[in-house]
Amino acid sequence: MLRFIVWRFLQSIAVLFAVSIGIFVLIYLSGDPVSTMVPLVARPADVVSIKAYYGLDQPLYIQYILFVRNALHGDLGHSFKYRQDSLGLVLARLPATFILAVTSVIIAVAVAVPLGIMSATRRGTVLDDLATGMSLLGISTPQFWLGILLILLFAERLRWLPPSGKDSPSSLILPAVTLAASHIGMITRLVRRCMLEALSQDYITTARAKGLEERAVNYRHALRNALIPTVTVIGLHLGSLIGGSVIVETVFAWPGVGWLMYQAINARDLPLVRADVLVMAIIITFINFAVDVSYCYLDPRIRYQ
Amino acid sequence: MKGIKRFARNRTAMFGLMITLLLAFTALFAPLVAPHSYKEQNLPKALTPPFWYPDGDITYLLGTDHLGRDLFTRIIYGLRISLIVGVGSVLVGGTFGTVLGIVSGFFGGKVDGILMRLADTQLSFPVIFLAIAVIAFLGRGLLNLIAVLGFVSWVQYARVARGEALVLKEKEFVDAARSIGATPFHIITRHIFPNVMPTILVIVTVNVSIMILAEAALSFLGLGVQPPMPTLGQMLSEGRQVFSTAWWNAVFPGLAIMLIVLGINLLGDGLAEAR
Repeated sequence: MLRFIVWRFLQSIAVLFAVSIGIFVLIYLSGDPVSTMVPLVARPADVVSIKAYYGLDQPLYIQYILFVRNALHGDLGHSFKYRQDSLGLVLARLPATFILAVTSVIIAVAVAVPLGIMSATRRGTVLDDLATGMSLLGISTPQFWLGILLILLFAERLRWLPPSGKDSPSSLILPAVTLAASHIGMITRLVRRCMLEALSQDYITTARAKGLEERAVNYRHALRNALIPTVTVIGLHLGSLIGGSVIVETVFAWPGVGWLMYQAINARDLPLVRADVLVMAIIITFINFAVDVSYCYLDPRIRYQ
Repeated sequence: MKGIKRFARNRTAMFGLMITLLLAFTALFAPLVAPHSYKEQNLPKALTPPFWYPDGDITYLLGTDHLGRDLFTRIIYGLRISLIVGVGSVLVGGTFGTVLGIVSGFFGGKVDGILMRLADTQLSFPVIFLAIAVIAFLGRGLLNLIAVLGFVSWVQYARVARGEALVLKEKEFVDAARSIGATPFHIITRHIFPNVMPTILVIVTVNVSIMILAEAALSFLGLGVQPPMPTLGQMLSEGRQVFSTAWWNAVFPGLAIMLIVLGINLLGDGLAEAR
């Protein structure tokens, strides 16, 4: 068990190392950042001194070592736009993204798991068709479009909820539902499939044969086994929630890391983009690590591998 | 053949196929179908509502945008970009991933180990996150978009192709081919590849829809194909600015995305079941 956790932790470190190289290569490929910073009329000497200031006159491997050393010291460079430490800017926006992501996971699980169970235990009925159809619609709807439609309906027409921002607790509802929607579709389909598979196993026939109530068969025997793959996928979804936050936060002007990323990209503020990408990558890596460790608790077979 | 019959009997799958073909042909023959030009502006007609409104105009079926451009026309051209990017990026990622996966699974060894570690690493990050990150640095444009979406999705194909190749290479017919002196190249192209294709085809279908959604999201964020070429995502982003007065601008392009993605998903589900 401990060996598994340590091994998985080392793997995560390796992933982050790969991420750092990836980001560095992207920065290099993105061209000369100084040319976008200085006005066209800048004197060549000024360009040279700005380059020296940012360490851009050094050979590549030194630039990479500098980048990693600075990153480990929490220095990801100054944002061009805000003239502030970019890591600080990103970290300040982190709680908002976290609240949004957690709320939408709760919504998604609370809706999708019962829906999937119902769909599987009443296979072939109208309810099943309805749930399957709705989940297909859910994964086919672009998140940002759903967000726009919800704003149009609940904020513009009905005026029940605020269209954007983060001024009151009710501002959380629309973005969280939007972010949850496509995941509801995917998780419902998954729970349904896993439940159907579990229900076709021999131990279910045994449980029924010994006269157990249908409820007990469904919940105590089938559901428990169907939940293992479900938890893994929900864990993976947490990662894509963070990725999807760029879109949903932008639609709702939700002040999290995703919206900051959008603003940074549009302002060509590369140090800020870099810090934002790195922080998101670290979070996603950490989530994956946590999911794998929790998986180990849920499914004892993993511990002995 | 059995698979095709099973597919043809599956009503929802056929429905998906019909939606997909209808939209694909409309997009393909856009210049013939579209009533207007996608960049033709008509400012006096700006924000004309759809035809069923009293002040609507029958020549602008779904109304116009803030520059008086025909929404219906722009949606058809937008679908074109969606499909080009969807199919193009799947071709790039699918080819690249399948070849790497088969070779990696067939030969095994160190390269296989490294490749699969790389695949695991990349798979731990959502496609849309990777695409945003790469395009943010490298810049936008049609080719960039196809290349980036293609390369961020190679992993899935590689993993599946590798898994299949691992099983297939132990099969008797591969042994038989080897014993009559077939080269690895011959075995891969003639025996492994044709057997991997059906599974890859299912992933390809599902991935076209994922890539179309990704393209729409990137265009919405301003990271897609540049104007004046219309894309559905960018139309929604503009539509969002005027939606309190002209809702049709924020509704119809999204509906088009949903329809094409739904059609392809139904088709993909049908293919997966028919196999």
